[in-house]
Amino acid sequence: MKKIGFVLLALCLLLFAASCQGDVKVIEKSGENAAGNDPAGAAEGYVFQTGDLSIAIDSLAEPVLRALGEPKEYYEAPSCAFEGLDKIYTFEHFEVDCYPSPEGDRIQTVFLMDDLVATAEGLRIGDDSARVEALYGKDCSKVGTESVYTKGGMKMKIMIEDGRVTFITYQSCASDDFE
Amino acid sequence: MRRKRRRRLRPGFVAFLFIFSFLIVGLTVFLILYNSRVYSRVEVEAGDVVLTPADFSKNGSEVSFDPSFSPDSVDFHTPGEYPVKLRSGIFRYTVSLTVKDTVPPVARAVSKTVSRGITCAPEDLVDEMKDETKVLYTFETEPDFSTPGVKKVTVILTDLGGNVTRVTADLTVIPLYTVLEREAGSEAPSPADFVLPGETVTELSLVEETESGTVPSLADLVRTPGDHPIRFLADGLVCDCVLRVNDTTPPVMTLRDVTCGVGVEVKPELFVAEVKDAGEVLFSVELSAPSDQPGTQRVTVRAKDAAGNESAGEATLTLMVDTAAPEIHGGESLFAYVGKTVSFLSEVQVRDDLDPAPTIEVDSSGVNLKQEGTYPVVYIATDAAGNRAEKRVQITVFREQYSEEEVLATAGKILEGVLKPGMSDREKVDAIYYWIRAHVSYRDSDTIHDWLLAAHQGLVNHWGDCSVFQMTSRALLTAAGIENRLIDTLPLYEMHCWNLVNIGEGWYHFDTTAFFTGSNFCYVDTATLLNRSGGFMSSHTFDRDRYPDVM
Repeated sequence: MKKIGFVLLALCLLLFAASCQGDVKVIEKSGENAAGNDPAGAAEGYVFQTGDLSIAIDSLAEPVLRALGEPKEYYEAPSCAFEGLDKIYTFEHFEVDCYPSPEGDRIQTVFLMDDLVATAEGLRIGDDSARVEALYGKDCSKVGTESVYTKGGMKMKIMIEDGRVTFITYQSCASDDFE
Repeated sequence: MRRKRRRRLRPGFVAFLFIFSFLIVGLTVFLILYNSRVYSRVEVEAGDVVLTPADFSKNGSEVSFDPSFSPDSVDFHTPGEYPVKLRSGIFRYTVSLTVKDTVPPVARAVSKTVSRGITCAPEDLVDEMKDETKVLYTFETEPDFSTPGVKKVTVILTDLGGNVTRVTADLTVIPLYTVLEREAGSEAPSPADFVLPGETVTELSLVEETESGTVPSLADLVRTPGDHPIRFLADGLVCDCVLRVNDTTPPVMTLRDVTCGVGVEVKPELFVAEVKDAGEVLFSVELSAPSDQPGTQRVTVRAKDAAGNESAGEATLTLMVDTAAPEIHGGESLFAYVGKTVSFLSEVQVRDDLDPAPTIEVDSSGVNLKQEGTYPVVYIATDAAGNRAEKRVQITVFREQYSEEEVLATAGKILEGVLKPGMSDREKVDAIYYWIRAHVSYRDSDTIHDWLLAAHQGLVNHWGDCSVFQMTSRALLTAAGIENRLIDTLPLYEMHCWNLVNIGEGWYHFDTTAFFTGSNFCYVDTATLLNRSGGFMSSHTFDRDRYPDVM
């Protein structure tokens, strides 16, 4: 009987000890600062604004074209650079070019045709070259008389002739890379 | 031999043993259950921690904070033990939460310059310090602030966890003022003004700034408010100082009286004929009467510069009923070129007798910039009183024309920056290819049938479809003296065109169109061309009979 008692006691002690095993927990720190990982903070390129609509280069074209409505003119042709059709939509004051991609047509170019529209920063056709630098800075590459501002994986190309802005183009870099 | 007699246990003792055993087992089970729900001790590294009851849960048990406990009572940036009250089922717990700091501080050394005799704190030599607990800064050895020169100073950073980091920085003790102050627009200081009283500097000169590469002019700098970094060489010692230009002088305005129409936005700038200030000035205006009624009133114009200095003055505003429409001048000789842009607004001037800024709208809906022709344009000007003027003009859209001399001259100018003396023909071909790929973007458009126009498009405007790439290549190759031909696909296949070049080894393919695959088609034979473009919709399937001599 005594033996049974001692065995029982030892068993209880063992069970109790086992329940206390691993009784310390180390918390992994939560609420880490995700500033560097915030997808919303990822670099964005220059965006063309028309009314309430923002047109970002390389974004899917369908919602943009739906919001813009009927174009003044439409042209399509087999693309020499992409698999599929190049599509050019001409609206009042600007042109939108689209290229084919597996997810659907994407915005390749927005081309400002006259000075009745402006970039989101306020630049228009006909503005002087000093305004370009005032709005976009000096950090650009120069190709002839063209200033190319690269941002967020796209380019804004501003052609200046005789001291005046003659072309403003938002351009995709989708077909720029080569071996 | 006598047999051992077994002692019989009394029934009461047996019952006691039974109950005792039952209690022991019961207690053990209770303790096991109690310990199975919550950890008795929890540790966390100091930092921004969001504490939740689940952090204390063992085996997924439901745990909540006791109402008497608030996680805000734990300072996760101070190491220590913190009691945490919890509930789980019928059980109550007080768990020990240990906040520890085992990570040493991380910091960057920062160079500092001080005037002789002026001290600085150890933290002045450290930047971008990161640690989750408070850090104490000390000098390993107190620097000598009394002797000019560059000294290596070690700063010790110790956090509340006892972790230590050492950072060594440059401390420069100079015989000059680190900051010299002057009023904007005052007489420019000389380099000698920077020398501390009692100091002797034999050779003192301004040196060029690292960013601009030019030696600054103190006379220019003293005109602009702000802190201007200056670098001196004082007896061989590089001294970084600052010319601090203060602006304590309010703007000086010359005001004028204004007459405008009722309803015009009365902007303060209308009243300012001239303003003198060292910096930028913002204006505001206070009217003494509403601006929606005709009449004359005194207005107060205020000016405030970037340094916060203010001044004010008075002028007279006369508001009149505006019944005259604006006048639109110009726009009679509007023209544009096919495919190019047009500036409608710069062609006209709008004037109004009582509105300094009437609005102008343009109806260009009838204009087609993609086709030659003459199209209507309507300018509409409206002043603040609603008076409206309209002017109908016409815009003529021309198709540009360029001569071969012009196009090849443009190509030649580009080649001046692309080709180098002594380049072989093969190197020239490569250089031309890479220039086009780097500078001309693919963008489709109506086909340009004039090769000179297509080449100009690529050379000057830097965009186009494959025909533009082809003609741009043709112009550059021709201007470089490289024999070249045009080539295109069979009619039934995807329409595409490119070039052939011959530098004495036979005809090779040269396609500069920007394919999304990134393939390089510079000076390749047919097998390579077809191999690289093989998956791309037969983009290079050409008539071998027409081009029998292509490699």
